[in-house]
Amino acid sequence: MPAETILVAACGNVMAADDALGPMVAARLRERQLPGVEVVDLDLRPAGLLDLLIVPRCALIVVDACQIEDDHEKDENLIEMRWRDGGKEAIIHDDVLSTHGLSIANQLEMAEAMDLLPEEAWLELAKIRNATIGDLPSDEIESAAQAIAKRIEQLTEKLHEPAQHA
Amino acid sequence: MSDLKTKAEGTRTIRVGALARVEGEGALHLAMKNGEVDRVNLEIYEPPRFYEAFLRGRDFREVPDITARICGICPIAYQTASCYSLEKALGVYDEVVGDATIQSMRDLIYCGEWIESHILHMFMLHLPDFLGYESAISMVADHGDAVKKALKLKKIGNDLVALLGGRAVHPVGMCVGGFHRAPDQKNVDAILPELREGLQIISELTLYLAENVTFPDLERDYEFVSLCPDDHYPMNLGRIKSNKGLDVAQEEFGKAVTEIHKEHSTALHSTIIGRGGYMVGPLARLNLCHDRLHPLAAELLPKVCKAMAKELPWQNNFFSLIARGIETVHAFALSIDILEKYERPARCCVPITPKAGWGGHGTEAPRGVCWHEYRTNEDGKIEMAHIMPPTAQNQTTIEEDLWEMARRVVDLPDEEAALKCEHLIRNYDPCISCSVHFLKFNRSWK
Repeated sequence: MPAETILVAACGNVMAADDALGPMVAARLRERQLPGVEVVDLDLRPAGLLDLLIVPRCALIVVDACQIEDDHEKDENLIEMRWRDGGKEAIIHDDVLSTHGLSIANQLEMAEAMDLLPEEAWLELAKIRNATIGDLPSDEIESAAQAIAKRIEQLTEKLHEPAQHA
Repeated sequence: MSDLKTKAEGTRTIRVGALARVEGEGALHLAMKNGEVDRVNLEIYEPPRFYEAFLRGRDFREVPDITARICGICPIAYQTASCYSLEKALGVYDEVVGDATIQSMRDLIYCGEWIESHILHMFMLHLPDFLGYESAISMVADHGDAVKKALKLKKIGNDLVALLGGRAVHPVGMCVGGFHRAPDQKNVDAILPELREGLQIISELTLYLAENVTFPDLERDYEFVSLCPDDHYPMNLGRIKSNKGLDVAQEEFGKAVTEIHKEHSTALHSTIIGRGGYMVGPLARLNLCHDRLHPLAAELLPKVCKAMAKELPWQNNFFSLIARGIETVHAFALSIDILEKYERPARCCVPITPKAGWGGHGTEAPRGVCWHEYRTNEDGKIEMAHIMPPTAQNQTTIEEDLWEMARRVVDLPDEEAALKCEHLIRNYDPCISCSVHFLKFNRSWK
């Protein structure tokens, strides 16, 4: 895989209501066939993220659903943030992003410590309220998946522009 | 992270959240009375019972791909156990087992899962405990190169699963009767050099760990249970036996154990009828079947035993770290053997005509025996499904271990006691798949 490839890693459980966000976004991105973008659906195995980073990439975008108990920004359901910018510790917490042995947050920290994390590492998140196994995704999360796919398309275009890497 | 609270006089409650190195959700509650352990509850929540319900009425062909979704770490265990059980129910088991190509492909994909799962657990979830690090992140700062090597091994495991399963995450290549398609020769040729290099790396790392890790001293008289085939190390086939006299055909295992519901947990507690808790997993397999390891793993074993100054059988489950290493060596070596002889087969699936029947079968998930049973109707629809995941089978024994550990840590500060209990739980690599992601520790004093 060439180093100029952008990796989009999506997490989520298609059998657990709005936790299906990641796979839904991955499906929409595959339809768009974005050039220079590899889309991986981590599905129920978010702990596989680190394995993907031993291959050099120019950027990483993680897509996930998050549940936040004390949410001070209730109006903002979609969150786009650069991993290294920080400032939203409540979101980058082990309990909020998908885990299964190693959380997404842990893996990003480990990758950074081992110089495996691309300079451009982004999170595309949607806040959800229901992750009950057996429930169907809500209409809101269908819309959120569409909106996030659009955001990622725009973000990857920007990240592929040479000036943005300088 | 910890949240220490002093409550009413004479009672103290400690909660430690965010145990991120266990798969899924659980809560541990130790109750202390007059300085003694009064109650140990490992509260866990297992979703497979939902699966048993919604498998009913499904076509038998759907089952392997549905049950694979019970676990993100060990989908192959669920696929193989459901396939063999349904092959028995549908009357094609002997034909499938008699097909050397299908069997070697099933062993091969399982090797990939063992490699991926064992490496994840050894080097990222469990090793920080032994080396005195708070987390894998802090360990990486000092041992980044070793972790990078481990990631490389883990990727080889993923690649093996993808070779046969079509993709590494929730593979879809296996079906009742065999596989949908066999790998192309060029893909087999591409992975062989990686496997040979990986075998060398994991052999060295396993011996290094045996020589350098100090293990807590907690030996117990366990009943070890695993598949015990006559001629090879357990994985897909074989009678189910123990070191204390259990010796049953696969189909009889469900009658040899009983599952008990306890108020504090939604996971059923398994016990052997008339005896009690038992242990499944790498330590059980190694103790019962070490004489059937691949020759290259068998060659390493005495060096490891010498380094640890402990001959088999190992009664200390902290040694499961090394047992996983030996099994990973076995999985690498077996994969190389299978792929060096590989020729793309003309067929890799036995044809099946739906019929009414029943079948029960277990295979060796990385964490131990994963046993399924199904009843089909004449159209091949599922009438009954029953799944015993390894972590549920180990739950009674984990709690018994915790009793012993709780006695030993009674004088330690709560936070330190909690860490030791969590370390012990991680010996079992528990897979408590569910939607919430942390273990809460709670110890109360009266």
